Amino acid sequence: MTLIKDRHTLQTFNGVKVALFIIPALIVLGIFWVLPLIMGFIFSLFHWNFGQNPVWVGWHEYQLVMSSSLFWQSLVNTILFALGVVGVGTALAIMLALILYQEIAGKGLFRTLLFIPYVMPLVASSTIWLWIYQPGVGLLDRMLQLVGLPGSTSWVQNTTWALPAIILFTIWYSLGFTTLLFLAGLTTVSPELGEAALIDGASPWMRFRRITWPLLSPTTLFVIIVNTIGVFQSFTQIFELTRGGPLGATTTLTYLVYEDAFQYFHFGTSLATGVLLFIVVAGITALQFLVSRRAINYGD
Amino acid sequence: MRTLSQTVKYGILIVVVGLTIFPIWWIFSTSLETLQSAFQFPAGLIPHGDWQNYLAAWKLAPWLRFFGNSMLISITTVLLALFTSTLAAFAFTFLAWRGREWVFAGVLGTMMVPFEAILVPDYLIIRQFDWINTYTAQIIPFAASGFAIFFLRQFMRSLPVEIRDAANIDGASDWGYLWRIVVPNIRAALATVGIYLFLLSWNAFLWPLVVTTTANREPIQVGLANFVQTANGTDWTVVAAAAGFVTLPVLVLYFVAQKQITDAIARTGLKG
Repeated sequence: MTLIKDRHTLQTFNGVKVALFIIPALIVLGIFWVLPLIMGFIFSLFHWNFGQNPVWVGWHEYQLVMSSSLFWQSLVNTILFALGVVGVGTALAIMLALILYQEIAGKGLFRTLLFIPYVMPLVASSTIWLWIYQPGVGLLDRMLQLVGLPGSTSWVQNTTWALPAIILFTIWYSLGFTTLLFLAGLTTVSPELGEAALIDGASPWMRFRRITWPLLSPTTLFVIIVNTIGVFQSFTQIFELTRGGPLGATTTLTYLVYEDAFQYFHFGTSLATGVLLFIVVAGITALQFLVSRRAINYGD
Repeated sequence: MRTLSQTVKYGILIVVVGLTIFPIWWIFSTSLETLQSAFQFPAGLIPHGDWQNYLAAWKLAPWLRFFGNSMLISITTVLLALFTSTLAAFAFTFLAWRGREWVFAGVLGTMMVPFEAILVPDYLIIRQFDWINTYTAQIIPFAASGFAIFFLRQFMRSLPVEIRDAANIDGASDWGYLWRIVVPNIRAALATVGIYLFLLSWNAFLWPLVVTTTANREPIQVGLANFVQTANGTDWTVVAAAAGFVTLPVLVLYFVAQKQITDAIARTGLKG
């Protein structure tokens, strides 16, 4: 690998030329991705409301964040959100991937249809679901009425059901994506092993449990991490379906960052929450790099 | 036994895939209903072929402007990002310079930053530049992409070394080598990244929501969100029609470029 890379490389060094090639990208990434990160850390040490001059307060904004019950509520919401989406979504996606990986008629069509929600604009799909969740007349309640249940729940305006409603939407929207990742993972599982086990008389469940599942575990870990990050970054469906409500029941860390800064103009606490969000997500992403490096080594 | 398990598999597929596309079917069928018939269940599930809602929705907001804004923003973003990222990927692959691996690690590092965490500082920068409510604010922060650089570099590294050697012998400059040899050979990768970045830009919501203030700079997603907010609870069939024509271009793109889209998304696993 090193040999090939070195042979690719021109052995002349010209600083000006290199600069011309990399500077456009580095300016953009520097000003809009690296600088804001540094600013976030520094500015979060100031007390700063919209239209006022910043005042140095040290860790005070962090103390404010930590002592706010809404922060802890949104942390819990984010974790429950992640557990719900990752738990149910992963199980469903493995099942679908195992079926779609086999030679069955129409699998191309099924894969195509399954993936549509993921490419749709989230604003449009959330709008559909806002109607599905309408009390009494929405699709969900109509279907419940059809099987004889009461069916008049205001799903997204109810502190008990709002978060599950967001979770259900997010599973619906990401299922095609998760299945796609598992289908890609299944291509790395050697079919000979399954055939050998079949000759040995292993049942389908045993073959899954003893062969496919262990060999799929790097993919599973990757899927869990990627979807967890996705949940941590979710904003649109919360904005469209619940606006973080009712009573903060669906406020996540990302939504809190937005709400604090752009609804209440508390820039200081919003910046501090943003820094905490960065630390959590960067930690999970670092884990992903470790996992995917293993996967990439296989691929090479 | 075999047919039984086939039946079970098809059963699962049809139920899950049916539930997946049912809401989308529903929005299109609702958009073709009158308000009265839309609330009849399950009769309301079969569309009437009534295009009134599309006309009504179309007249209620400056959709053409929203479409135009989104097109302008997405296409400019993609072209700029492909240009800057191709140049950078070239320097990371073919040029030797001190600190190259470190800078590349830094570029990879930007992929770890969730945009939501730097939302407020970025907003403050944009405000400092006096870019609030401009196209520039919606384009320039995404005019380079760590993912695109990483992805294109992978493809450039896989080009046969013989091509490089031949170009060296012919005395081609780096610039000529890039445009005459490298770019034509990584067209597939450029298309994949381009389509991916286009979808990302077209579907973007949080950032345009905070940096735009008037309809003449809002992209289609913000336009639709505002429209839903104002029409909420009044006429769902009209809202459904609006959601329908916001979705349609993306669906067309998906059916045309399905392979590239799924390929790019499977490789990144990241979507804001």
